[in-house]
Amino acid sequence: MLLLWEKIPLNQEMASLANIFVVSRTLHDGIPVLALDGFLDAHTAPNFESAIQQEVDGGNLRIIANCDKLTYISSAGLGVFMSFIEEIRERGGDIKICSVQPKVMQVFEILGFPALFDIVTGVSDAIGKFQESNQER
Amino acid sequence: MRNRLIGAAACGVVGLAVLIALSGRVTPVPSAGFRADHDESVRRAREYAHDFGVDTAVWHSGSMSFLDNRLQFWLHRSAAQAAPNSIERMVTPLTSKVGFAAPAGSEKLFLTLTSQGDLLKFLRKDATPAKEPPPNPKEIALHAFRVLARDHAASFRLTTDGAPAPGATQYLWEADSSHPEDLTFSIRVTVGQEGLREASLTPNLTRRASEAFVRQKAGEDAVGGILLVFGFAMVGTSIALFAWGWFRGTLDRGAAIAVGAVYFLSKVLINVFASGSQRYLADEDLARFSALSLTVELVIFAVASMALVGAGESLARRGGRPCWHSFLLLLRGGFSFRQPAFSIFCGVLLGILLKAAAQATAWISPLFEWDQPSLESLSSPAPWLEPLLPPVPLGWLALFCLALPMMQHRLPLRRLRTPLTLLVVIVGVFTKAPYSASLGASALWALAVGALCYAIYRGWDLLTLLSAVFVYRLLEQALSLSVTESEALRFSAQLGFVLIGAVFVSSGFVLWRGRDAVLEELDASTVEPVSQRERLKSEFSTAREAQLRMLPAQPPDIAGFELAGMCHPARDVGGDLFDYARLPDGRHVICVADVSGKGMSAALYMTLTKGVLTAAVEGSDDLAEIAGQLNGHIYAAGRRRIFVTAALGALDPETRVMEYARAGHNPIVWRSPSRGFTRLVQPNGMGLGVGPVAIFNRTLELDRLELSPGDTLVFYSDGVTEAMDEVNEQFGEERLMASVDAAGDLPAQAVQDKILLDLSAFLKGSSPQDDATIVVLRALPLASGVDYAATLGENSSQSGDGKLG
Repeated sequence: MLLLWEKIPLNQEMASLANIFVVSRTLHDGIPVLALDGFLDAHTAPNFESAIQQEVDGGNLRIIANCDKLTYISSAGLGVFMSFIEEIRERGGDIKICSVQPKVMQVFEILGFPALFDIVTGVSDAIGKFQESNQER
Repeated sequence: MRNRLIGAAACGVVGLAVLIALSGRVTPVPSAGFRADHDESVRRAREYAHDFGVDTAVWHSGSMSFLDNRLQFWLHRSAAQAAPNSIERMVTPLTSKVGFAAPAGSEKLFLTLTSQGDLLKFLRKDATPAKEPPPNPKEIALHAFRVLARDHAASFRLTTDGAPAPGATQYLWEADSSHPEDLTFSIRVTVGQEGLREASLTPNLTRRASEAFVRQKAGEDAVGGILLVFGFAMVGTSIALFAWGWFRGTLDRGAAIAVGAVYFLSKVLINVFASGSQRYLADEDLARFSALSLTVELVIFAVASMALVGAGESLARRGGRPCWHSFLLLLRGGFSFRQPAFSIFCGVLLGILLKAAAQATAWISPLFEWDQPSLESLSSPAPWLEPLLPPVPLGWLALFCLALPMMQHRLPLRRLRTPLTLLVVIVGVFTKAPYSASLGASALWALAVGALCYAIYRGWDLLTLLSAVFVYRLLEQALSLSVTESEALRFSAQLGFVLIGAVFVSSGFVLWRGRDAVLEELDASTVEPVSQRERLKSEFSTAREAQLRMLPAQPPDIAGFELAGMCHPARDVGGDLFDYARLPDGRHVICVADVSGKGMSAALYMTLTKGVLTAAVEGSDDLAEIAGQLNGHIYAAGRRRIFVTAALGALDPETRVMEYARAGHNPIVWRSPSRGFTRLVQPNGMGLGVGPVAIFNRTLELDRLELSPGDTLVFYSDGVTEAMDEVNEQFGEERLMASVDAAGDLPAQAVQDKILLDLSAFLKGSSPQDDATIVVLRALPLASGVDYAATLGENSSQSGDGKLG
C-alpha cells in the first residue's frame, strides 16, 4: 500500500567533462556529412547515435562520417557504427567513413572495420563512392 | 535478536510488577472521581441553561477540559487538611467547559462545570435583548446564586447589591474558605436586559498561597524558554535539512511522505471524530478561529512531521541506519515482516517498563500530575481516539527522530556522543515532564524516562522506542481514565488496555509466523543513493569474485613452455578474459579476449564468450572454425552493439608452432632473441560480433609462428596499451615492446611483472582506466648440456627444473 513511491535512481557517474565531443552536420550534394570532433567514448556515443538516428528517421540513408577531427574512439563509439550499418544497408543506404586520423585508423584496422565499411580519404571521395553505387544501379 | 527479545520480556515483567506494586501508593491523580465527560457535561449544561431560561436543544455544542494548575498546586499541598464536606470541595482544578452556539445569529452560551458536573460559570454572549428589562433582576440573581452556592449558601454574604453596569446590574457574594489567608470565594452575578448574563463562582487564591507556585512556575518557565529556543532551532534545522535532502534526493522521500500522511490523517480524524473541532466551539477565545486556522494547523502538522522524520532519516544514514531499518520497513507497508513486528513486540514490553519507571519516580518524589490525563480525552466525544491520534506526538517525534540521530550519528566528537545525546534526550524529555511540587521531582522523572528511552534506541531500535512511547502514553491515559467516575471514560480506558494487548498479540503473532525481510527488502527501505551504492557494491564484489573464479587459477603445464596470466578489472567486474584450453588434437589454446564496453554488461558478455569458447574447442581442431563459431554466437547475441575482440593461439609444444588468429584484437608481441626481433603480429581479422559470418570468415587470416627456445609471446588487452597518464598520453605498443625487451630472458611471470611495473610507473600510481589483461607465453631456452629432444621426453614436473630461476 505504501510501496508506490519512486525509487531514487542511482547517481550516474559524472561524465568526464574534459573530453568533449561535438557532431556537426552539413550537406554535400544533398548527402548529410556528420563531422565528428573530439573523443567518441561511452559518454559521448549517445550524441553520435542520436545524430545518425535523426538522419535515418529523416529518410537520409546515405551518410558520411567525417572523422577529420576525431581524436579518439572507444569500443562504444565503434558500436554506434556497427549498430546502424546493417539496417541502413538493408534499406539501400550506407555509411561511408572518411578522413580518418592515423591513430583512429589503427583502431579501425585492428577491429577489421575496413572489411565492413568503405573508409576513404576525404569527403569528396565518399561522395564519389555514393555516386559510383548510384551508377551501378 | 533472541537476547534482545529476552531482555525486553524481562523488562516487561519487571515493569508490570512495579506497576502492580505501586498501584494505590502514589498521589491521587487529578482525574480521580471525574464525572463530567463530554456527554455528561453537555447534558448538565443544557439543564442549567434551561433552568436560566435558555433553550439550547437545537444549538451546536462543544466541550473542552481545563486544569487550573495553581489551584491544583494549592489543593495538593493542603489536601490533608481539607475535610470531605469543606467549602474547598465546591471547586475542582479540573473543569469542563461547554460552549453552545445558536443555529442562526451569533448568540453563544458558555458554561463551566466542576469535574462533578456542578455549575461554576454561566456566560451568555450576543443575546438579543428583550424590549423591556426584566421586572425582577434581583430574583434572577438570587436564583443563580443559589444554584452556584449549592450547600454552602450560608457561608456567603452579599457584598454588592445591585451595582449598575453597562446595560446591566451586578451582584457580588463573598465567602472565606477553611484557610481564609490562602483562599476565598466570590460569586458574581450580572443581570442584563436579556435576563441572566453572567454568573460565576470563583476561587481566589491569595498572593501568599500562589507564591510557592509562582516560584516553581518561574523556574519551569526559564527552563521552558530555553527549551523553546532549542525546539525552534531544531524545527528550523530539520526543515532546512529536509528541503536540502529532498531536492538532492538524499533522503527517503517515501518514508517522509508516509509519516506526513499519517500525521495529517490523524489530525483530520481527531478533528472530525474527537475533541479537535470541539475546542473551537467551547472556547470563547478560540471561537473566532475558523476553518482556515484549522487547515493551517493541519498543513503545519503534516509538513513538520515529514520534515522531522525525513531529516532524521538522512542524518541517520551514516552509522545509524540499522536503528531505522524496521521503522522504514513498516512505513513502506511491511506489516507481515518479522523485523518491524519484533521492534513493536519489544516496544510494548519496554513501554510497560517506561511507565513503571515514571510511576516509581512519582512514588519517590511526589508529582501531582504523574498520571496527567490528556485534557482532550476527558472532554472528547471519542476519548479512546485521543492518545492514538497521532500515535506519537510531534514533540516526541522531534526528540527521537531528529535530535537523537543528529547527536548520536553526526556529532563530530565521537567520545562525547553518548553523554551529550543522553543529555539532550533527558532535557528533551523534561519538557514532557508532569507537573511537580518541585523541579527536582520533574528532573528525576525526566532522568529515568530519558535514560530509558536512550537505552531503548541503542539496545533495540527507533521503532521499538516509538512503540514504547506509544504504549507508555496509552497506559498513562488508560490508568488516569480508569479512576474517573464516568462510564464512557472508563470504557475508553479498558479499550486502551485491550489495544495494548492487541498490539502485543498481533506483533507477537507476526514475529512467530511472519517472514523475515530479506536483504533487498531491508535495503528497499534504504533507497538513498549512498546505501544503494553500498548494496550494489556488495553485489558487484560478489560478481567480481564469481568472475575471477572463471579465470584459470593456474596455467597448465606445457612441456618446454611456461605461462603466466593475469587480469585486473578496472571496476569491480570487467569485460576482459583470458583462458587456456586443450583442442582434441592435444594442442594448447591460449585466448585473451576483451568485450566492448565496461562494467556489468561487459562482464555478462565475457561469461558468454567463455562459455562459447569452452564449447567450441571441444568440437574442433580448426582455429578458424572456432573463431567463426565465436563470431556467430556473439554476432547473434550482441545485436551489433556489443563485440568482442580476441587473440587466439593454438600451440603445439612438440613442434613449437603456434597457430594464431586475431579477431579484431590488439596484435600480440613476439620477442625472439635468437632471431633478433621484437615485433607485433597482426594478421587480418574482424572483431567477434562486428560483422556477419561471411565477411568474418573471409577476412580472418591464420598466422603460423614458429617459436624458438627463449622466445616470448605477450597477449594483452587494450587496457594495457591504451592506459593513459595524466596528460592523456597512452602507454602504447612501443613502451610495451620496450618492457618485454627489457625483461630479457626472465621467466614468464617476471616478464608479466615487469610490464605491470613499467605500466604503473607510467601511470604514476593511478590505476588503469580499463581492464588490463596480460598473458605471457615463453618457450624455455634449452638448458646448457640438455638436449632439446631429451627435454621433450621428460614429464612436465621435470621440465620445470629446466626453468631459469
